[in-house]
Amino acid sequence: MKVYISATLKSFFGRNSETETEGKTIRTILKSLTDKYPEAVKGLYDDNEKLRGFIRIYVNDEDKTDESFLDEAIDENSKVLLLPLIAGGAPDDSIISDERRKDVSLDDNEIDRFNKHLLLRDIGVKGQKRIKASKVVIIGAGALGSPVIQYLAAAGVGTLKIVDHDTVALGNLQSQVIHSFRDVKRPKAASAKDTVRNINKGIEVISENLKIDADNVMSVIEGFDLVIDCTDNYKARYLINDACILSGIPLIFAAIYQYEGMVSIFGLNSGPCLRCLFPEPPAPGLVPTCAEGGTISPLAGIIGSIQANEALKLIIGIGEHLDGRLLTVDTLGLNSGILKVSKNKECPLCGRSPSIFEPADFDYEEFCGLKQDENEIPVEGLTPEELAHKIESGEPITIVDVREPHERAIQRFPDAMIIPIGQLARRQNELNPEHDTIFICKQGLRSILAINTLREAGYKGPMYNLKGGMDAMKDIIFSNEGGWL
Amino acid sequence: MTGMTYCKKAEINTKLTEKIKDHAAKTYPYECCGILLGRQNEDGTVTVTDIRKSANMIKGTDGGICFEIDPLEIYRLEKETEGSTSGIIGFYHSHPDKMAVLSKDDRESMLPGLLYVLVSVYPSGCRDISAWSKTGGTIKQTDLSAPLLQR
Repeated sequence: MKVYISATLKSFFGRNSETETEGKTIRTILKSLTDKYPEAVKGLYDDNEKLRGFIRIYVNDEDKTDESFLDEAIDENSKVLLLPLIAGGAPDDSIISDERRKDVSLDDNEIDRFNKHLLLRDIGVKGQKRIKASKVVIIGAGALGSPVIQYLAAAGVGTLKIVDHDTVALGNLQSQVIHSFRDVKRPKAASAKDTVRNINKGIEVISENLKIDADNVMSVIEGFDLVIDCTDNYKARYLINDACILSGIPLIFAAIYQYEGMVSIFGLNSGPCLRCLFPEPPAPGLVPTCAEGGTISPLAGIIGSIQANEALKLIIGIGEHLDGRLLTVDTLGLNSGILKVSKNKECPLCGRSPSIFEPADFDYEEFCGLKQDENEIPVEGLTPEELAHKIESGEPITIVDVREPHERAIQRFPDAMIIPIGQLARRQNELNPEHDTIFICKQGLRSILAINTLREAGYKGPMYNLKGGMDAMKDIIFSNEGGWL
Repeated sequence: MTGMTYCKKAEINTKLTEKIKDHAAKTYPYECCGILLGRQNEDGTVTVTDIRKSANMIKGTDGGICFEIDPLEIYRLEKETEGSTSGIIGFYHSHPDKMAVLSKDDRESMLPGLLYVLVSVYPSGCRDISAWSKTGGTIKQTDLSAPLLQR
């Protein structure tokens, strides 16, 4: 019986395309072939002596590869073809290589601990090993960082680096559930590290009490597989984004405000980055950070948990990811949606002809077009001490509070006029241009905007900004408790 | 077609590369696949001289994550090119929304001595193109470039 052997199988059978065999059935034909070409056995059969998946046997143009046809008698004049099935599948999406996965093993304790992961078909031992092999940096151990750090620790991420420059304040405990009351005034990074230790001592935790800047951001993320941005300000977000894109490390971004949050993944498989989505941050005074704007307690838990889940999916290599997409969640109306994020070909960081080659400490005010140009009169500021002195001296002054009602509800400034920024120009005649007027907000940024707004509206009286805002005033106010509040 | 062992270098002109990319982009979000025709050079390199688009035998949503080329199509093409200087030297396929790297399935179904070209394709178009070949049990990335005169 003549058998046609595809040239693509020549590495098994040599270059002969047609071979005479002894067989009368597929089984005997194959036997005859492997007798003739002993080298072909390894190519044709797997370790269990099953015909390999890519071999196809056709008899008169009909696929007869299935085992059930093995002993079917074949007519002498049949056309028997031995052909390859060229096939393939999509690659694994995991950001942890097989080599790294194979380098780790799970002990009995871990098999017990991660039982619920091992039960999931798509995670299993392989996925859990990838989690163990992974190294993740979390920047910001605040509201978003709390669920991210705790869930990644609980899930068994092998190496966690926690970076935060701040200390725990009482007001953090409403949403930053990684810290507890006794951690107040401790560095957040150290407090978070202790919590991780209490969850799993087997995890390597690196805590850095550090403020991210252009000089350190690259070294902070170097050697890690994934960066999770849990910061609350635009300057850090842009620095982290730039460093991740330049280092080729994927970034899971999130932001929360009041009742809403958003999550996206930047720099995954050359996907879009933060600068593709928001080329420029909003003006500093216009959008309060979450420290100023407030958030409902579980919001960070919801959004941060999505970040942690996305991180695990990337590490395990399962599911769809948020690269090129922005997930928005509105917890008040219970709406969520996914917006498409396109790569911007003109992106200065990841576009066709980039202009950013290293992270730079940009001047946030200038970046936002709010920096005063040289012709503009600089805004004069008062330190909290200077303001306290002015008040105590009894000279006639006007204090204007431009904060939102919910911010004033937290801490009222005594005897202050309340004028929202939007109404300042219209209500300028309520101010006395003979008196010094001091503008206050939470952090001393929106008050500058207020002064500039009034100047543009033609107000001529002396105006001062409270440097650092109410936040900087706190200690002084508290030291005079009875008299002030 | 001599018994080639391992393609250390593959040449493909930009016109053919564009043809593959175009096939991948038009087939998105499904995997496209096709056959590479060409010749084995004496210095161990291969030259792709033409490509043939194949239909992905995997239909439905699975066609977005895997592909199969009809074995009979390979047979017919071998008959067609019998006696000519170029024959089947490899295959190409796309990875929609995935990187241009071999998957586990790709590795397992690779035949030794042939060239496998991969292209990553996203909604915005093709991103990367890579080539691979297997010898014995070892799989290596193959340098894929356009011949100097045809760039």
